Amino acid sequence: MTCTVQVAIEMDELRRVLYYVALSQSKERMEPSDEMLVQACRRGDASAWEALIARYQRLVYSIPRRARLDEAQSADVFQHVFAELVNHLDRIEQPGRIGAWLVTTARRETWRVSQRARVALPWPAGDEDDETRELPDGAPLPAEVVMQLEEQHLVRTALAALDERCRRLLTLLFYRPDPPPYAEVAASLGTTEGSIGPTRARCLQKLRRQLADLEF
Amino acid sequence: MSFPSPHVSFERLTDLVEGRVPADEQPNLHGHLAACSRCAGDLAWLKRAVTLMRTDESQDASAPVIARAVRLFQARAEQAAPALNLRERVLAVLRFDSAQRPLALGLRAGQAAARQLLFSAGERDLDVRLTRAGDAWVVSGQILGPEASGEVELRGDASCVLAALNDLSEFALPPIPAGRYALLLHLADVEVEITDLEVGAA
Repeated sequence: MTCTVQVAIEMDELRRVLYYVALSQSKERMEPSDEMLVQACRRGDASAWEALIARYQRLVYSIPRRARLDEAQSADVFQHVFAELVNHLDRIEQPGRIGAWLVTTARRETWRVSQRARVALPWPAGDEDDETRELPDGAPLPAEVVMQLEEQHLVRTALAALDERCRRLLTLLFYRPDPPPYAEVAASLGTTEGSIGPTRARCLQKLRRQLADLEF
Repeated sequence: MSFPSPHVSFERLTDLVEGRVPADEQPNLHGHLAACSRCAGDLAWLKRAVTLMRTDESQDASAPVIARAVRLFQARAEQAAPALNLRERVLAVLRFDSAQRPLALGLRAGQAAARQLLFSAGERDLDVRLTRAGDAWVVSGQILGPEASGEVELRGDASCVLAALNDLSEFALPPIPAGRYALLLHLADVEVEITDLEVGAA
Protein backbone atom coordinates (compact mmCIF):
# COMPACT_ATOMS: atom_id res chain seq x y z
CA MET A 1 0.00 0.00 0.00
CA THR A 2 2.74 2.37 1.02
CA CYS A 3 4.69 1.46 -2.09
CA THR A 4 1.70 2.16 -4.39
CA VAL A 5 1.10 5.55 -2.86
CA GLN A 6 4.78 6.38 -3.14
CA VAL A 7 4.82 5.51 -6.87
CA ALA A 8 1.69 7.56 -7.48
CA ILE A 9 3.22 10.58 -5.78
CA GLU A 10 6.46 10.24 -7.71
CA MET A 11 4.65 10.03 -11.07
CA ASP A 12 2.59 13.06 -10.20
CA GLU A 13 5.68 14.90 -9.05
CA LEU A 14 7.50 14.06 -12.28
CA ARG A 15 4.58 15.23 -14.41
CA ARG A 16 4.41 18.54 -12.58
CA VAL A 17 8.13 19.20 -12.54
CA LEU A 18 8.33 18.47 -16.28
CA TYR A 19 5.37 20.75 -16.90
CA TYR A 20 6.83 23.66 -14.95
CA VAL A 21 10.28 23.24 -16.46
CA ALA A 22 8.79 23.14 -19.98
CA LEU A 23 6.77 26.22 -19.14
CA SER A 24 9.77 28.13 -17.92
CA GLN A 25 11.98 26.99 -20.78
CA SER A 26 9.50 28.30 -23.32
CA LYS A 27 10.89 31.65 -22.17
CA GLU A 28 7.52 33.22 -22.85
CA ARG A 29 6.74 35.15 -19.72
CA MET A 30 3.68 34.61 -17.57
CA GLU A 31 2.38 37.89 -16.28
CA PRO A 32 -0.31 38.32 -13.63
CA SER A 33 -3.68 39.14 -15.19
CA ASP A 34 -5.26 42.59 -14.88
CA GLU A 35 -7.79 41.13 -12.49
CA MET A 36 -5.06 39.73 -10.24
CA LEU A 37 -3.28 43.08 -10.18
CA VAL A 38 -6.45 44.99 -9.32
CA GLN A 39 -7.29 42.52 -6.54
CA ALA A 40 -3.76 42.87 -5.16
CA CYS A 41 -4.06 46.67 -5.31
CA ARG A 42 -7.30 46.44 -3.34
CA ARG A 43 -5.34 44.67 -0.62
CA GLY A 44 -2.93 47.58 -0.58
CA ASP A 45 -0.13 45.89 -2.50
CA ALA A 46 2.12 48.67 -3.78
CA SER A 47 4.08 46.38 -6.13
CA ALA A 48 0.85 45.43 -7.93
CA TRP A 49 0.07 49.13 -8.33
CA GLU A 50 3.48 49.71 -9.91
CA ALA A 51 2.93 46.74 -12.22
CA LEU A 52 -0.45 48.12 -13.28
CA ILE A 53 1.07 51.52 -14.06
CA ALA A 54 3.95 49.90 -15.94
CA ARG A 55 1.48 47.91 -18.03
CA TYR A 56 -0.75 50.83 -18.97
CA GLN A 57 1.40 53.95 -18.75
CA ARG A 58 2.16 54.07 -22.45
CA LEU A 59 -1.46 53.66 -23.51
CA VAL A 60 -2.79 56.21 -21.02
CA TYR A 61 -0.10 58.79 -21.85
CA SER A 62 -0.53 58.35 -25.60
CA ILE A 63 -4.21 59.29 -25.55
CA PRO A 64 -3.70 62.99 -24.67
CA ARG A 65 -0.59 63.12 -26.85
CA ARG A 66 -2.58 61.87 -29.86
CA ALA A 67 -5.14 64.59 -29.11
CA ARG A 68 -2.26 67.10 -29.46
CA LEU A 69 -2.07 68.01 -25.79
CA ASP A 70 1.45 69.08 -24.87
CA GLU A 71 3.69 67.17 -22.45
CA ALA A 72 2.60 69.10 -19.35
CA GLN A 73 -1.10 68.75 -20.17
CA SER A 74 -0.63 65.07 -20.98
CA ALA A 75 1.15 64.55 -17.67
CA ASP A 76 -1.83 66.17 -15.91
CA VAL A 77 -4.25 63.84 -17.70
CA PHE A 78 -2.06 60.89 -16.76
CA GLN A 79 -2.02 61.94 -13.13
CA HIS A 80 -5.78 62.49 -13.08
CA VAL A 81 -6.48 59.04 -14.56
CA PHE A 82 -4.41 57.17 -11.98
CA ALA A 83 -5.73 59.33 -9.12
CA GLU A 84 -9.24 58.37 -10.24
CA LEU A 85 -8.19 54.74 -10.30
CA VAL A 86 -6.92 54.89 -6.71
CA ASN A 87 -10.25 56.44 -5.66
CA HIS A 88 -12.37 53.92 -7.60
CA LEU A 89 -10.36 50.75 -7.02
CA ASP A 90 -12.99 49.16 -4.78
CA ARG A 91 -15.91 50.13 -7.00
CA ILE A 92 -14.66 48.83 -10.35
CA GLU A 93 -17.07 46.03 -11.21
CA GLN A 94 -14.98 44.27 -13.85
CA PRO A 95 -11.32 44.33 -12.75
CA GLY A 96 -10.45 42.23 -15.80
CA ARG A 97 -11.50 45.16 -18.00
CA ILE A 98 -9.38 47.74 -16.24
CA GLY A 99 -7.74 48.67 -19.56
CA ALA A 100 -11.07 49.78 -21.02
CA TRP A 101 -11.80 51.76 -17.83
CA LEU A 102 -8.43 53.55 -18.05
CA VAL A 103 -8.93 54.39 -21.73
CA THR A 104 -12.41 55.80 -21.14
CA THR A 105 -11.20 57.89 -18.21
CA ALA A 106 -8.16 59.15 -20.15
CA ARG A 107 -10.27 59.99 -23.18
CA ARG A 108 -12.80 61.91 -21.08
CA GLU A 109 -10.13 63.86 -19.21
CA THR A 110 -8.30 64.59 -22.47
CA TRP A 111 -11.44 66.06 -23.91
CA ARG A 112 -11.99 68.17 -20.76
CA VAL A 113 -8.41 69.51 -20.82
CA SER A 114 -8.66 70.19 -24.57
CA GLN A 115 -11.81 72.23 -24.06
CA ARG A 116 -10.20 74.21 -21.25
CA ALA A 117 -7.05 74.82 -23.34
CA ARG A 118 -9.07 76.17 -26.25
CA VAL A 119 -10.86 78.64 -24.03
CA ALA A 120 -7.83 79.69 -22.00
CA LEU A 121 -5.14 79.99 -24.65
CA PRO A 122 -5.20 83.15 -26.73
CA TRP A 123 -3.46 83.18 -30.07
CA PRO A 124 -0.08 84.88 -29.74
CA ALA A 125 0.26 88.26 -31.43
CA GLY A 126 1.11 88.00 -35.12
CA ASP A 127 0.20 84.34 -35.19
CA GLU A 128 -3.48 84.72 -36.14
CA ASP A 129 -3.06 83.37 -39.68
CA ASP A 130 -0.81 80.46 -38.80
CA GLU A 131 -3.07 77.56 -39.72
CA THR A 132 -0.28 75.06 -39.17
CA ARG A 133 -0.16 75.77 -35.45
CA GLU A 134 -1.15 72.64 -33.55
CA LEU A 135 -3.67 73.06 -30.79
CA PRO A 136 -6.14 70.60 -29.35
CA ASP A 137 -9.21 70.79 -31.57
CA GLY A 138 -11.63 70.42 -28.68
CA ALA A 139 -13.35 67.39 -30.19
CA PRO A 140 -13.20 64.04 -28.45
CA LEU A 141 -10.48 61.76 -29.78
CA PRO A 142 -12.15 59.70 -32.56
CA ALA A 143 -13.16 56.18 -31.56
CA GLU A 144 -11.11 54.63 -34.37
CA VAL A 145 -7.96 56.37 -33.12
CA VAL A 146 -8.59 55.11 -29.60
CA MET A 147 -9.24 51.62 -30.93
CA GLN A 148 -5.98 51.73 -32.85
CA LEU A 149 -4.10 52.78 -29.69
CA GLU A 150 -5.72 49.93 -27.76
CA GLU A 151 -4.76 47.42 -30.45
CA GLN A 152 -1.21 48.75 -30.53
CA HIS A 153 -1.12 48.36 -26.75
CA LEU A 154 -2.19 44.71 -27.12
CA VAL A 155 0.53 44.08 -29.70
CA ARG A 156 3.16 45.62 -27.42
CA THR A 157 1.85 43.57 -24.47
CA ALA A 158 2.07 40.37 -26.54
CA LEU A 159 5.52 41.35 -27.78
CA ALA A 160 6.72 41.93 -24.22
CA ALA A 161 5.71 38.36 -23.34
CA LEU A 162 7.93 36.85 -26.06
CA ASP A 163 11.48 35.66 -25.54
CA GLU A 164 14.29 38.18 -25.85
CA ARG A 165 15.37 37.04 -29.33
CA CYS A 166 11.90 37.38 -30.88
CA ARG A 167 11.28 40.65 -29.08
CA ARG A 168 14.44 42.20 -30.47
CA LEU A 169 13.94 40.86 -33.98
CA LEU A 170 10.33 42.02 -34.35
CA THR A 171 11.18 45.40 -32.83
CA LEU A 172 14.04 45.90 -35.27
CA LEU A 173 11.93 44.83 -38.26
CA PHE A 174 8.59 46.41 -37.58
CA TYR A 175 8.86 49.26 -35.09
CA ARG A 176 10.53 51.47 -37.64
CA PRO A 177 8.78 53.35 -40.42
CA ASP A 178 11.31 52.02 -42.98
CA PRO A 179 12.28 48.38 -42.58
CA PRO A 180 16.06 47.99 -42.37
CA PRO A 181 17.96 45.59 -44.68
CA TYR A 182 18.24 42.05 -43.30
CA ALA A 183 22.04 42.39 -43.28
CA GLU A 184 21.71 45.26 -40.78
CA VAL A 185 19.25 43.28 -38.62
CA ALA A 186 21.51 40.20 -38.71
CA ALA A 187 24.49 42.29 -37.61
CA SER A 188 22.50 43.78 -34.71
CA LEU A 189 21.43 40.33 -33.54
CA GLY A 190 24.74 38.61 -34.18
CA THR A 191 23.21 36.05 -36.54
CA THR A 192 23.25 35.20 -40.24
CA GLU A 193 21.19 37.04 -42.81
CA GLY A 194 19.69 33.74 -44.02
CA SER A 195 18.19 33.00 -40.60
CA ILE A 196 16.25 36.26 -40.38
CA GLY A 197 13.36 35.25 -42.70
CA PRO A 198 12.47 31.92 -41.04
CA THR A 199 13.03 33.29 -37.51
CA ARG A 200 10.88 36.34 -38.25
CA ALA A 201 7.99 34.10 -39.39
CA ARG A 202 8.28 31.88 -36.30
CA CYS A 203 8.33 34.91 -34.02
CA LEU A 204 5.25 36.33 -35.72
CA GLN A 205 3.45 33.03 -35.15
CA LYS A 206 4.40 33.21 -31.46
CA LEU A 207 3.11 36.77 -31.38
CA ARG A 208 -0.12 35.57 -32.94
CA ARG A 209 -0.59 32.96 -30.21
CA GLN A 210 0.04 35.54 -27.51
CA LEU A 211 -2.42 37.92 -29.13
CA ALA A 212 -5.05 35.17 -29.39
CA ASP A 213 -4.77 34.81 -25.59
CA LEU A 214 -5.43 38.55 -25.35
CA GLU A 215 -8.52 38.15 -27.55
CA PHE A 216 -6.98 40.18 -30.37
CA MET B 1 4.88 9.30 -47.05
CA SER B 2 4.03 12.98 -46.76
CA PHE B 3 2.50 15.37 -49.28
CA PRO B 4 3.51 19.00 -49.65
CA SER B 5 1.06 21.40 -48.04
CA PRO B 6 -1.37 22.97 -50.51
CA HIS B 7 -1.11 26.23 -48.53
CA VAL B 8 1.31 29.14 -48.74
CA SER B 9 3.77 29.04 -45.85
CA PHE B 10 3.54 31.67 -43.13
CA GLU B 11 7.09 32.67 -44.01
CA ARG B 12 6.16 33.30 -47.66
CA LEU B 13 3.11 35.30 -46.60
CA THR B 14 5.36 37.39 -44.35
CA ASP B 15 7.68 37.95 -47.33
CA LEU B 16 4.66 39.20 -49.28
CA VAL B 17 3.69 41.64 -46.53
CA GLU B 18 7.27 42.88 -46.37
CA GLY B 19 7.41 43.33 -50.16
CA ARG B 20 10.12 40.68 -50.53
CA VAL B 21 8.38 38.44 -53.11
CA PRO B 22 9.75 38.91 -56.65
CA ALA B 23 7.20 40.40 -59.09
CA ASP B 24 7.17 37.30 -61.33
CA GLU B 25 6.08 35.07 -58.41
CA GLN B 26 3.30 37.32 -57.21
CA PRO B 27 0.53 36.37 -59.74
CA ASN B 28 0.66 32.71 -58.67
CA LEU B 29 0.61 33.68 -55.02
CA HIS B 30 -2.32 36.06 -55.45
CA GLY B 31 -4.16 33.45 -57.52
CA HIS B 32 -3.92 31.00 -54.60
CA LEU B 33 -4.90 33.67 -52.05
CA ALA B 34 -8.04 34.52 -54.03
CA ALA B 35 -9.17 30.90 -53.77
CA CYS B 36 -7.92 29.91 -50.29
CA SER B 37 -9.67 31.42 -47.30
CA ARG B 38 -7.13 30.01 -44.82
CA CYS B 39 -4.14 31.64 -46.50
CA ALA B 40 -6.13 34.83 -47.09
CA GLY B 41 -6.97 34.88 -43.37
CA ASP B 42 -3.30 34.42 -42.41
CA LEU B 43 -2.33 37.23 -44.79
CA ALA B 44 -5.01 39.54 -43.39
CA TRP B 45 -3.77 38.89 -39.84
CA LEU B 46 -0.16 39.57 -40.85
CA LYS B 47 -1.07 42.82 -42.60
CA ARG B 48 -3.07 43.97 -39.59
CA ALA B 49 -0.33 43.14 -37.07
CA VAL B 50 2.50 44.60 -39.15
CA THR B 51 0.52 47.78 -39.88
CA LEU B 52 -0.21 48.23 -36.18
CA MET B 53 3.50 47.94 -35.38
CA ARG B 54 4.66 50.19 -38.23
CA THR B 55 2.16 52.93 -37.38
CA ASP B 56 2.71 52.77 -33.61
CA GLU B 57 3.62 56.29 -32.50
CA SER B 58 2.63 55.78 -28.87
CA GLN B 59 4.89 57.37 -26.29
CA ASP B 60 6.12 56.37 -22.86
CA ALA B 61 5.34 58.72 -20.03
CA SER B 62 8.52 60.17 -18.55
CA ALA B 63 10.04 58.64 -15.41
CA PRO B 64 9.03 61.58 -13.14
CA VAL B 65 5.42 61.40 -14.40
CA ILE B 66 5.31 57.67 -13.67
CA ALA B 67 6.93 58.15 -10.26
CA ARG B 68 4.28 60.73 -9.35
CA ALA B 69 1.52 58.28 -10.25
CA VAL B 70 3.21 55.52 -8.23
CA ARG B 71 3.20 57.82 -5.17
CA LEU B 72 -0.58 58.25 -5.46
CA PHE B 73 -0.92 54.80 -3.95
CA GLN B 74 1.12 55.44 -0.80
CA ALA B 75 -1.77 56.63 1.31
CA ARG B 76 -3.89 53.67 0.31
CA ALA B 77 -1.12 51.17 0.98
CA GLU B 78 -0.62 52.65 4.46
CA GLN B 79 -4.37 52.51 5.15
CA ALA B 80 -4.54 48.91 3.94
CA ALA B 81 -1.74 47.67 6.15
CA PRO B 82 -3.74 47.57 9.44
CA ALA B 83 -6.68 46.00 7.59
CA LEU B 84 -4.51 43.08 6.56
CA ASN B 85 -3.74 42.40 10.18
CA LEU B 86 -7.43 41.76 10.83
CA ARG B 87 -7.13 38.55 8.93
CA GLU B 88 -5.33 35.66 10.53
CA ARG B 89 -1.67 35.65 9.61
CA VAL B 90 0.12 32.34 9.92
CA LEU B 91 3.82 31.68 9.75
CA ALA B 92 4.57 28.42 7.97
CA VAL B 93 6.87 25.90 9.62
CA LEU B 94 9.28 23.76 7.58
CA ARG B 95 8.58 20.01 7.91
CA PHE B 96 10.62 18.53 5.11
CA ASP B 97 13.45 19.66 2.86
CA SER B 98 14.79 17.31 0.18
CA ALA B 99 18.11 19.16 0.32
CA GLN B 100 18.56 17.98 3.90
CA ARG B 101 18.12 14.31 3.02
CA PRO B 102 21.27 12.18 3.19
CA LEU B 103 22.57 11.40 -0.29
CA ALA B 104 22.13 7.89 -1.66
CA LEU B 105 25.21 5.75 -1.80
CA GLY B 106 27.38 6.74 -4.76
CA LEU B 107 25.83 10.21 -5.29
CA ARG B 108 27.99 13.30 -5.01
CA ALA B 109 26.99 16.47 -3.27
CA GLY B 110 26.31 19.52 -5.46
CA GLN B 111 23.60 22.00 -6.28
CA ALA B 112 20.47 19.99 -7.14
CA ALA B 113 18.32 20.91 -10.14
CA ALA B 114 15.16 20.50 -8.06
CA ARG B 115 14.32 20.80 -4.40
CA GLN B 116 11.13 19.99 -2.54
CA LEU B 117 10.02 21.53 0.73
CA LEU B 118 6.95 20.83 2.81
CA PHE B 119 5.60 23.43 5.24
CA SER B 120 2.78 23.29 7.76
CA ALA B 121 0.60 26.36 8.19
CA GLY B 122 -2.38 25.96 10.51
CA GLU B 123 -4.76 23.40 9.05
CA ARG B 124 -3.03 23.38 5.68
CA ASP B 125 0.25 22.02 4.34
CA LEU B 126 2.18 23.69 1.59
CA ASP B 127 4.19 21.65 -0.91
CA VAL B 128 6.83 23.89 -2.54
CA ARG B 129 9.10 22.90 -5.42
CA LEU B 130 12.13 24.81 -6.59
CA THR B 131 13.17 23.76 -10.09
CA ARG B 132 16.16 25.04 -11.99
CA ALA B 133 15.33 26.40 -15.45
CA GLY B 134 18.57 27.49 -17.10
CA ASP B 135 19.97 30.36 -15.07
CA ALA B 136 16.68 30.98 -13.30
CA TRP B 137 14.45 29.05 -10.90
CA VAL B 138 10.78 28.18 -11.04
CA VAL B 139 8.92 28.13 -7.74
CA SER B 140 5.76 26.03 -7.95
CA GLY B 141 3.66 24.01 -5.58
CA GLN B 142 0.33 23.09 -4.14
CA ILE B 143 -1.68 23.82 -1.02
CA LEU B 144 -2.82 20.62 0.63
CA GLY B 145 -5.74 20.36 3.03
CA PRO B 146 -8.96 22.39 2.99
CA GLU B 147 -9.82 23.93 -0.37
CA ALA B 148 -7.97 27.20 -0.95
CA SER B 149 -8.33 29.97 -3.49
CA GLY B 150 -6.34 33.16 -3.81
CA GLU B 151 -2.93 34.28 -4.96
CA VAL B 152 0.68 33.45 -4.25
CA GLU B 153 3.31 36.15 -4.12
CA LEU B 154 7.09 35.81 -4.01
CA ARG B 155 8.93 38.89 -2.80
CA GLY B 156 12.64 39.39 -3.10
CA ASP B 157 15.06 42.29 -3.17
CA ALA B 158 15.35 42.21 -6.95
CA SER B 159 11.99 40.90 -8.09
CA CYS B 160 8.43 40.28 -7.04
CA VAL B 161 6.19 37.83 -8.89
CA LEU B 162 2.58 36.83 -8.50
CA ALA B 163 0.43 33.85 -9.57
CA ALA B 164 -3.13 32.69 -8.97
CA LEU B 165 -3.97 29.33 -7.46
CA ASN B 166 -5.75 27.07 -9.95
CA ASP B 167 -8.74 24.90 -9.12
CA LEU B 168 -6.43 22.21 -7.69
CA SER B 169 -4.83 24.85 -5.43
CA GLU B 170 -1.63 24.60 -7.48
CA PHE B 171 0.55 27.50 -8.54
CA ALA B 172 3.57 28.15 -10.75
CA LEU B 173 5.38 31.45 -10.48
CA PRO B 174 7.34 33.01 -13.36
CA PRO B 175 11.07 32.19 -13.34
CA ILE B 176 13.15 34.23 -10.90
CA PRO B 177 16.88 34.55 -10.19
CA ALA B 178 18.44 32.71 -7.25
CA GLY B 179 18.23 34.60 -3.98
CA ARG B 180 16.41 35.00 -0.69
CA TYR B 181 12.63 35.49 -0.88
CA ALA B 182 9.47 35.66 1.21
CA LEU B 183 6.59 33.53 -0.05
CA LEU B 184 3.13 34.87 0.79
CA LEU B 185 -0.19 33.10 0.27
CA HIS B 186 -3.11 35.49 0.10
CA LEU B 187 -6.06 33.19 0.81
CA ALA B 188 -9.64 34.19 1.48
CA ASP B 189 -9.48 33.45 5.20
CA VAL B 190 -5.81 33.64 6.04
CA GLU B 191 -2.43 35.03 5.08
CA VAL B 192 0.35 32.46 5.18
CA GLU B 193 3.94 33.60 5.17
CA ILE B 194 7.19 31.76 4.59
CA THR B 195 9.66 34.34 5.67
CA ASP B 196 13.02 33.10 4.51
CA LEU B 197 12.99 30.99 1.39
CA GLU B 198 16.43 30.47 -0.07
CA VAL B 199 16.04 29.82 -3.81
CA GLY B 200 19.00 28.29 -5.60
CA ALA B 201 20.88 27.38 -2.43
CA ALA B 202 21.54 24.08 -0.66
